[in-house]
Amino acid sequence: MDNQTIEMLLRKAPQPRVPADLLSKLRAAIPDPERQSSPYRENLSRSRFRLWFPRFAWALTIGTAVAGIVYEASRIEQLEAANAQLQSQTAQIPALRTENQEVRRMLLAARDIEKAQQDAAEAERLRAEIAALRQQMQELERLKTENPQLASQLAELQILTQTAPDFLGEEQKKAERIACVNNLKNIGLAMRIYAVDNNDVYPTSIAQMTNELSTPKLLICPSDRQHAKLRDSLTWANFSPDMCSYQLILSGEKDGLVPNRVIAKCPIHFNYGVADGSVQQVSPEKAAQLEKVVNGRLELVWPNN
Amino acid sequence: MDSMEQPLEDLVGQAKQGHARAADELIQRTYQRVYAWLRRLCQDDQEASDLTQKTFSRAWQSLDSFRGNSSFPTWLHGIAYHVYVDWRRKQQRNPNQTLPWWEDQTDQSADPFESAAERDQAFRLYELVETLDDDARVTVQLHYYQGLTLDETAQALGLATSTIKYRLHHALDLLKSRFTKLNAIET
Repeated sequence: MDNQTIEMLLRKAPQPRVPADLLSKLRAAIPDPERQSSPYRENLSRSRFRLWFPRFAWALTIGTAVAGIVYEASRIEQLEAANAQLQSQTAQIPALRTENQEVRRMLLAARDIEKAQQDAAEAERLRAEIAALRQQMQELERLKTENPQLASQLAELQILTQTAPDFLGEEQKKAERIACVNNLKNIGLAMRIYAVDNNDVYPTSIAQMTNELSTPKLLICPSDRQHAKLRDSLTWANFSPDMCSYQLILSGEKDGLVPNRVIAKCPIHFNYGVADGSVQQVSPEKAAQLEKVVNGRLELVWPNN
Repeated sequence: MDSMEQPLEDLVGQAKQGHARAADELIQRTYQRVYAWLRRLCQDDQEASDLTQKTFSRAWQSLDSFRGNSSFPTWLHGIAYHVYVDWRRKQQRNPNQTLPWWEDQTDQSADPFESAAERDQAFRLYELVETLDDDARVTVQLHYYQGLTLDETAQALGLATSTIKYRLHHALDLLKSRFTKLNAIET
């Protein structure tokens, strides 16, 4: 079969059977031109619109133009009135200029006056300062003349002070010596109490006497300047043996059997605490004579003994 | 003047101005072709009837946009094709295979075939047309079955005339080769 035959047969193709009611349905679906929603109605409306639109457009254009002309005319009138007002104001400009110059001149004069007043006030203040300075200069001169006199008086007073006996210092030393004796008595008493509780055996360390000695402050001589500052805050908790001012002879023997045996000594005052509980005050020279070593132990031996 | 003899363009102009009789005349002169094509496309009587009504409904809605650049039937075929494409997209499946349209004809007295052999050949050919791809099948249907010219077919489908020519040439080659093979198998 060739193409021409095929085309011929295709062109002879029968038409499908059309449903009988299709035509009536299609007719029924033709839009009613009277209905508002109909496209025909819209077409008619469009036709009327097309008919009237040019006329409306012209009327609208002319109306707009007239309105614009009226508006512009009123604007021109306003501008002319404003122009006339400005011209009348322009005529007053020369007078205003002269007035302005006068005002400026007065302002400058007022500024000059104000500045002059400020200068005068400043000058017055400076004068007052100069007067005060002059007074201070006079006072300074007077003090200069008084100064040599006072210096000579002070020198005389120093000479007198150096030659006068130090009564206060002596009393102080005496009080410290008495306090030192008191310390040694307490130390000796503590050693003896310890010995009573320990078969007459004396202690071998300060730590053994903490129950018998009420406070470690007794171990600091009042004249011991090195440790005196520690006294006020000293307790057994912060005490160490090197803080002790005294030379303690802690033998661990029955020292009570030898009454003259030295158990404590102040190297500052040469006060001696001895085993019988007493404290002996001697001078340094005499101390050298009295100190004797007997059986390996230090004793105070009096000449009449 | 009798309305049957009025040119379609005049009827369209009157219908645009709201003349129901002109619209009725347009329907009478075109609905059978539209239905026939839609019946071939969707292969279902009821669906073809519905789609034909939709086609005309859409035509009335957009009649004002018809500028006469193509003939009214061509414009109507274009609308029908779009209606069919929309329907096909909603269907999401191939059309139901019902009785072939060439078997369904009732006007046996108007049988165009010269002999029973030619009739058999023609029906076999129509079967082969249905096996073509969509583009080729639609083009063949519009040009040969619906009787549109090449330019009208191109306008209805929104394509270039050269494209239509190419499609038809290709479709005829395919039909010829398939027809020959089919005959060889049967003999």
